[in-house]
This record gives sequence, C-alpha cells and structure tokens, in this order.
Amino acid sequence: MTSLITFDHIVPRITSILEDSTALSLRPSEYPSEVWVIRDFTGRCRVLAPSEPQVPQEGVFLQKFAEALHGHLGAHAYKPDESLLPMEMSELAKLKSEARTIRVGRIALNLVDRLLTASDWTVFPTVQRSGKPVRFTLFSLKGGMGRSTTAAVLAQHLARRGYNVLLVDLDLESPGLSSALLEENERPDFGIVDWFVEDLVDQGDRVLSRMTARARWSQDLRGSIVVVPAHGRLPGEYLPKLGRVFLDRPPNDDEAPETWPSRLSRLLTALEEQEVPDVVIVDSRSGLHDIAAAVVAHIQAHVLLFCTDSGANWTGYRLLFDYWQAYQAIQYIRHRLSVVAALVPPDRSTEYLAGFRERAWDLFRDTMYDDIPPGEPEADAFSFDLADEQAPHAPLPIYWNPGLASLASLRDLEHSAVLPAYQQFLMGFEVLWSLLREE
Amino acid sequence: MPQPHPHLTRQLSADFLDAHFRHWEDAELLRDNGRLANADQLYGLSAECGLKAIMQRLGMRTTPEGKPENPDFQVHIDRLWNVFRGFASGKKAVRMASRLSGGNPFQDWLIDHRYANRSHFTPDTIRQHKKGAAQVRSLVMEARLSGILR
Repeated sequence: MTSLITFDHIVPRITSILEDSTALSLRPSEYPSEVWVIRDFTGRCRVLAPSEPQVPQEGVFLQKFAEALHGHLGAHAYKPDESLLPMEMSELAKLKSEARTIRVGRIALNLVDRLLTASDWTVFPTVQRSGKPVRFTLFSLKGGMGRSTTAAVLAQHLARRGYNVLLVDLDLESPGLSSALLEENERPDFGIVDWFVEDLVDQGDRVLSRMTARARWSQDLRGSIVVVPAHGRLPGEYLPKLGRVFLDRPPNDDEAPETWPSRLSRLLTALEEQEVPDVVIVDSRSGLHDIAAAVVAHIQAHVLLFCTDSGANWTGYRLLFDYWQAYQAIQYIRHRLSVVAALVPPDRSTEYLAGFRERAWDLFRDTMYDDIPPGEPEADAFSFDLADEQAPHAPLPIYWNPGLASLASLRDLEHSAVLPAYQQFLMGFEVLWSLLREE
Repeated sequence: MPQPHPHLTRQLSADFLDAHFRHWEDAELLRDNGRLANADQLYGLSAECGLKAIMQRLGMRTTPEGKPENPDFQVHIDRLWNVFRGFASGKKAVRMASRLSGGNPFQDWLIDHRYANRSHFTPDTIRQHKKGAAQVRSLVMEARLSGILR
C-alpha cells in the first residue's frame, strides 16, 4: 500500500522537488527564478504557467515540474494533463499580494492558497492610517475571558478622563454588548449587521446615523460613550442578515469587488467621521474567525490579546504567529500587540504572572522579536528583555473575582468587584495610552 | 440497429468552458478589425457560456447537449446575469457571484440582434458588453484557481 500523502506534505514536497537538482533532470540555468503553485479550495495543487517566460524553454521546466508535482503529491495534485494553468502576466501580478513566498535556494516559490475563510489573517493594508482616533481591538482565542467587561471598563475609564469613546460590538455571532450597555429603550434602530446588508444595495449611509446610541449610564462622565451594537432595537431577521455580512461587495462598473475587511474599514471610518471620537474600542469575536482576522490584521488597531496561562492558549497563539511569519507579515503587526493576562487567580498572582510572562516571552521571542547576535548594536531592533514592562509580552493583568464573574450588567461598573480586578490593568493601560497618543 | 435521427447527429455535446474562451477570442478579433456587430454577439455568448460552465460545476443539471434541465436557466446572458446572482447560494457560489457587478451590463443585449442591421451597434454598447464579458472571464479564472473549474 502506498503511503498516505496528506495536506501537510505539500509544501515540504514541492520544496524538495526544487531543491533536488536531479529531480527534473535540468541544468540550473534552465530553472526560472520565480515559480508559481496554486493550492485550490480542495487542497489540490497545480502549476501556473506565466504567459511571458523568464528563461528560454521555460515550457520544458514547467511541464517537468508539473509532472513531478503529480508524482509527489498523490491525491493533492491534478492529473498531468490538467496540472498546468496558463496565466496572463496581468492576472499573475494580481495574485502577487496573496502569495506566500518561500525561498528555495535562488528560486522564489510563490504559493497561492484559495481558502473559504481564514485568508484575511494576512491581509494588511498597504496605506498607514493616521493615528487618530486611536483604535483598540480586544481579541481572545476563547470566550469567557472578560473581553466585553474590559471594553466597558476601558470605555468608562477613558470617558471619565474626558475622552469621547466609540464602542463597537463586532462579536456578531454572539451579540450582547449592546444589551449589556444600553437599556431597552435607548437602543438605536439599527446595528452593524444592518449596515453590512444595506451597503450591498448602496444604502449603508442611510442607516449610519441610526445605528449609534449614547449610553445613559455614562452621561455624568466628562467624555461620552457611544455604543454601536451588533443589531438594533428590533433584531429583525438576524441570521439571514448575518449570513451576508462577510460578503465582498459586488463591483460597480470598473471597480474591483470590495473585500469584507475593506468594507469594515470603510464602516469604521464613516462612524468616526460621524461621531468624532478620541478612541474606538472594538470588541472582536473570539477564535481564529474572519471577523477577528479583519479587526486584528486589517483595521490597524492596537490589539489587546487576552490570554490565560494554559497550554491551549499558547499553542493557539503560536499557530497564528507562525502563520504570520510564513507570510512575512510579522513586521505589520508586532508593534501593535499587547498581552492581557485574563482571569488571574488573586491568591497566587505573583507566581502565576511570573510563569505567564515567561511563556509569553518565549512565544514572542520565537516568532515576533528580532534575533540580536552577540556584539551587534540593538538600537533599531525589535527586541525586549523578559522583565521589560513596556514589551508586548509584558502582561496587563485582570484579576478574577467572584463578584466580577457574576456582574449582572455592564452598566453596574461602580460595583465593588470592578476596581480591585482592574486597578493594575488600568495603570498599565495608562502607559500604553500615553505612548499611543504620542505616536 | 436503429440509426440516430439525422438532426441529432448534428448535435454536439456542450463544452461551456471551451465555448466561453473561443467566443471571447473571436469577439476580440472581430472588434479589433472593426466588425462590431458580430463582436457584440460573441461577447454576450462568451459571458453566457462562462456563467453556465460555472453553474454546471456548482450543480446545474444539463442534458448532454448542454441544455439546462431547469427552464429558469434556459436563458441567454441578458437574463442569465441576474439568474446567476439568484442561483448562487453557499460559500463557494456566493463568493463567485459577489464578483459580478450589481447592474446587468447585458440588459440591452439580445440574441435576436443577430438579425439586426449593423448600424445599430455602436462603440459604446460594445464597450459595455466587453466589460461584462471581461468580468465573467475573470470570474472563470477565479473558478479555475479555486478548483471549481478545471
């Protein structure tokens, strides 16, 4: 019986075909400097044949390479007569931004993946947005870590100091922030899902002014808290609307379709123009979901990563960070991350946080921080010591307590449980806030 | 052994993908040589065949000659554009359909225009129909990259 070739064999096997100079019986000069492979929805691979060759006789190389793929990838290859797909140079140029480039000697292997979801984790905008208003995304791999409560606490903290806060509930598959923050009779007519659906028929701007509400419980604060809920006072047909949120927007005439992360950015910008906040807090959905991808990678927010000191947590974040590394995307994200230690046990917090910090440091050192060889200057390097309090891995701690866990409403933030849980977190946040405002 | 009816022997099996490409290639040749009236017809046929190739792979059932079993799909591009948007459901298909523009660029295109006088075909209408056909072309390319079409 032949051995099972699975999805995870694909990249190593393609790489080894290109590394092994005897595999294709060709001279080095007969290899192009750039090779394209597409891995489709089903995980099957074929070779893209550019319309303009880089080396004479490139067709011979492509034919042999495609045959080798068929020989080495088993069920993950196309049949030999289907394994070459001709491509115009203009089409190939469009694929460039989606490709993950793997260096194999002097050859650049461009691997293009076709995914139904998850592709947005590597979509980083090319244009840097101005730092105003400051945006924060609250993200966790699992639910129940206190993200929504933290959003409310942060909003209150900033509003108390005179800042105007826009709080956006993007936990669309588990909506609830709005009911926790707004009383029944103060909820707006529409929510985020309505905007996404109406935008598909070019009338998103008509619901924009009716999808925000100022939280009444915050009216005595110096600044304001404006909430953008997932759905309006009447949720309506929520699921049929939700099923349309993540669509690309069909093009008008010559435009390209607008991707969902770009649509989200456009919505945030429009809300910011309307409400003129100093700070925007986005409550993301948990887990490696497309919503999270957009609000972590695309909207250029500072991301608070909620973590607990568990194996599952660190493994999960490592999967994500490794993926960014494979796409050479680390540079776009690493300066925008801060780690939050959620659910810290108060009775043994010192040793817990010390262990947490070490695990976080290991993760960031392996994936995000620059290696500094001994004796090299480290002035411009992105690298931090274990004990550095301003490092991305330095935990902002939120303490678990039973009063917080049973908090009935996020409008009840004066509750005695909140202050001790968040005191240290808010002190750390202040440092971060002043750094971000300077930027 | 009974002989097939002579009419049936003239019927070739449909290959929507190949037909999509050849109609496009010929439309381009004609347009480049100023033969606007027939170029216009072929842009429309190219777009129709491209969409039907995708619909077939997404579950549209056809007779061997390529006639869709569902009468709603037995239409040319002037109606098929919007039919396709209604047909698409499920992640793969909806991703495909969202790449087509909302307004139908072929709404003024008719298969019966093959009987019309050449003076009716202006550069503007051709440009519009070429744009529509080009959108379907890039949709077909995406379907091939994604593995929906070979």
